[in-house]
Amino acid sequence: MSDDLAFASIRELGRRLRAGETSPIALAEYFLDRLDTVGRSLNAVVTLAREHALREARLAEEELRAGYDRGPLHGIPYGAKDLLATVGLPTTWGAAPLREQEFPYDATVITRLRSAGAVLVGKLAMVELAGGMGYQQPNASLTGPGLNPWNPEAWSGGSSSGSGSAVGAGAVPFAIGSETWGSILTPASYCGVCGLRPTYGRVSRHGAMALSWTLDKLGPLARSADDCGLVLSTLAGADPSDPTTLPVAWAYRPEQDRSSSFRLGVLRDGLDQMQPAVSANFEAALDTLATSASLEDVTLPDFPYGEATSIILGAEAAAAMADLIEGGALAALTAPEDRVGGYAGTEIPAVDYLRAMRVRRLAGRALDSLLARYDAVVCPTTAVVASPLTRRFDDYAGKVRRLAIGSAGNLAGLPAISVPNGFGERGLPTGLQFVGRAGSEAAILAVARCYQSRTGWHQRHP
Amino acid sequence: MATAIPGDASGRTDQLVQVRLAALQARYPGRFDADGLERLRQQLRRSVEAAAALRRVALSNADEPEPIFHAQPREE
Repeated sequence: MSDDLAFASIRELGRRLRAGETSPIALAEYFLDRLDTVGRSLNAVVTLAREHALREARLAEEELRAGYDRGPLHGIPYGAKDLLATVGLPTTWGAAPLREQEFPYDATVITRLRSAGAVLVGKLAMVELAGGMGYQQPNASLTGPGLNPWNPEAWSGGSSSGSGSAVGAGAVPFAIGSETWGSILTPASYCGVCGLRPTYGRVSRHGAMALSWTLDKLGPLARSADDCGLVLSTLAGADPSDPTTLPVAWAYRPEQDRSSSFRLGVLRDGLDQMQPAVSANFEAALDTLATSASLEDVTLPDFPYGEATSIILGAEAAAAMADLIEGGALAALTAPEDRVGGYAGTEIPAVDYLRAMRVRRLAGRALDSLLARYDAVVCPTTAVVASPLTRRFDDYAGKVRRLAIGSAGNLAGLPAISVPNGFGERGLPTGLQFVGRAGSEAAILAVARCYQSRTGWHQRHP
Repeated sequence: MATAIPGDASGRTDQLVQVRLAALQARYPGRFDADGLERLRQQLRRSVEAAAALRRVALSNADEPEPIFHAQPREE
């Protein structure tokens, strides 16, 4: 089987399946092999789901042969971040003390993907406890540091490390990740793939590890914005098992979206402190976007986004992980800083948490007023390319490690998509993000597709 | 009336960090070595400073938190 399958889009794989050029079983075997070799070499794999995958692939093959077509994901292999419960497979949360953990039920996203005919080929590596204990360097997972497919001396990003690097390396066509504060967009940017953080509540969190009930989101990492839209269409929807899910349905209908005449707000906050290649690639992207969009400089409303997010995350994570904290299991985590990270959150006063939630409300309103004027706000996804494995994040990225838009977007539950827009130092990708108002996934996907129709960065691969 | 509470003087931050650190040591005796205590001190400082930054945002009595509770019929 030719290697071009490794980097084919979901639509292309689907076309080949329906043309009889390949089969669900052949695809499953191919990507199982890719995960077992390339994926493992990047520390991207926790569990290879061989039997599980072949069982699902056989069913998909029989159904497609019988003319029962479940849609664009039917027969397409994927990987799931190892914080999603899956019957019959361990779900480690990336944490050494939980390496044997299993759940007797499937996460809702796993169920929905199965219903769409997608084939789960592996549970993918992640930063232990989704980074909620405050890791400061790449070696913070039971599978070791996530390695970057473009340069294995660099980090993959996290906490959806395996999801980013496995997609980037062509070891799966798409993957599911989670984001509490940067965990989809960062690995997407660092690994040169597309990552979509949906609106809070768009995708059910049932069966996913809870780190922060009011910040956690699940979303896809894939080859293109179009692929992200196809996957989100399957994931989205109300779920009685997750009372925070939005009651409104969402479907991906790219044919109904505009393809030009977009209105974009351009956020240049911190641009002068970013790596030169990040700034240069951003300016080049704006030139491209200017051919199909009006651009207007904007600034974020003035709020302590990072501080509010850190208080909310710290308090909720300490509560969500109380069993691990009280029982002393944190001591067995990989990163030394994670072994004490949860304790500080237990000392956050309730009034501080509530103040953060009050500020959150004001900030959300102010952000919505800004975003209502645009299809999206555009800015670099990260200020730097992936850090070397040997460097602490703060030492490498300095004050711009966390951009205000990342804190603001997660605090307000806003959708965002990161797409590749070039390369920087050490041959590593840079990313461009489009952030929209709550519920505007269709708009940010349309802008991202427009950008990708005019550039070829998303078609590059290691 | 909206009120913004002034930020902390650094001495007060140190005191708050120390109080919280002592509380953690009392709740979890013997769990932290010197390195762990120093990491903990840094993390506690960040959350004390974050809370101080939040107190600089003017809030009125009418400014409610993002909803974290909804009364609704429940199926038992």
